[in-house]
Amino acid sequence: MSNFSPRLRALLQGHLTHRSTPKLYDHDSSYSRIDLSNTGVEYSIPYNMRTMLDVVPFCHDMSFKNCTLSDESFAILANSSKGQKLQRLKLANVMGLTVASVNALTSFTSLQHLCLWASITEREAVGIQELESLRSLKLAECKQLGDSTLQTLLHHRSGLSLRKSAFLTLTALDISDTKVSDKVFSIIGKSASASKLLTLRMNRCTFTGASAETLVKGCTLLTSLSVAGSAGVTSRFPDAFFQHLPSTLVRLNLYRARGVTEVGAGFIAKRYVVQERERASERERERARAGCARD
Amino acid sequence: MRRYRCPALERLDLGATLISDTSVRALAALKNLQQLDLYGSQVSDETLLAVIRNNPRLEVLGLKYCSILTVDGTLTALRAALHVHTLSLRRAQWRSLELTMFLLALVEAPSGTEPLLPHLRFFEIDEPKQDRHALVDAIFRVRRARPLLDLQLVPNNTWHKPLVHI
Repeated sequence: MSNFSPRLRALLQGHLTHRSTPKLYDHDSSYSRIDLSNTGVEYSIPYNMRTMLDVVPFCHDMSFKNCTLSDESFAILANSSKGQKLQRLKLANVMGLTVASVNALTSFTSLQHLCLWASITEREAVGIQELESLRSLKLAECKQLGDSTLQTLLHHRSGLSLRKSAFLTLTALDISDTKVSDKVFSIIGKSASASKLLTLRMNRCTFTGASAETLVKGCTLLTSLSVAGSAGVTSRFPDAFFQHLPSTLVRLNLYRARGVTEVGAGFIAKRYVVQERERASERERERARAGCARD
Repeated sequence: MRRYRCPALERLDLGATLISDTSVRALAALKNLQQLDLYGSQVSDETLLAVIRNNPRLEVLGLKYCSILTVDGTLTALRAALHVHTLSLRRAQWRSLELTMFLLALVEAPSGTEPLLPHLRFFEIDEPKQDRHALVDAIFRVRRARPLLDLQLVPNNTWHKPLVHI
């Protein structure tokens, strides 16, 4: 609490039940990050949300892990000047998120990184597709999320034209421990947005050879891939998954992946003859990567 | 023109995949690994040496439950691992005397050579049983000689904590 301003300290000491204190992270002496997780404050009560917004300094990054939010208090956050400047919002294991709350996320005009870990179901997820500037989206442990959500995100159409949707700007996606099936992995691989993904986490999923191949082939710029606890539909993890790993890969998590064969693991480090066509497409990828970096 | 598939790979977690020595040997062709977890793999002494020689920037190495590694082979391989700062040797299928020998190599180097793993900062082994006096003495010596090293004695029933962060 020593870094808090006297007013904030007084307020927080008066209001908190002290399961833990909020943390302010002073990176650039403007408290750009505030962690309100596990504080015991009922942010579902609009008064608490309003008071918190009144006293906390300007920040880019707010975390409400394990909190409870109501529609009304969420609307207060979304419509506040501080809410509109948020670039990162962590709503992990948040109780009380409804369709209205998720729809209100569109008011966070600067939002780029959104974590909804274990917080929403298929019904609420529809609102995510309206977020048009998201860079990273974490839907892990949203156990009710299935194919239709992801399909909607990937093929968000208005009339006949493909509108800009949340997925088109994503560079990081986490769909671990959801109900998303093999069919969607192929769709991700085939979608235009796959080639922009840099980080993909799909822990504890089940692949067929064909979907794994399509997925990995499509994600040509991946630098980080996590498939911990995943498995093939047969007792083997499909070798095709490893055969098409992008050369850009820097981190690979196969922890507890079941049925990784010698052939499959061998592909990770295998030397192969680069064809002229492949070299051309690699030059293309490098140009795209340079474009992404400029963005 | 020949090229490796994932030449930039720096972090690789193969924990609990139960992959064979042949597979790990294939991975020795990688050159840029910095963090590698081989928990539960059937990696042999020779393969470990090959992986370490080919990846001189290796900093994190998980060898938990690598049951066919011998103490001599591991010592030989790790002498080449100059930058390793995090190491797990939990559930090494070694007798108490062998583990004692390994620990003493951390403090006693042959004349004219550096001690084993000069940059080691975190090292975990299983908690020794009560009657292993020589082992307990070796642990004490390591802690006294290398105060910067966090030597963790992990109880047997503790969950595996991944060393490689991805």
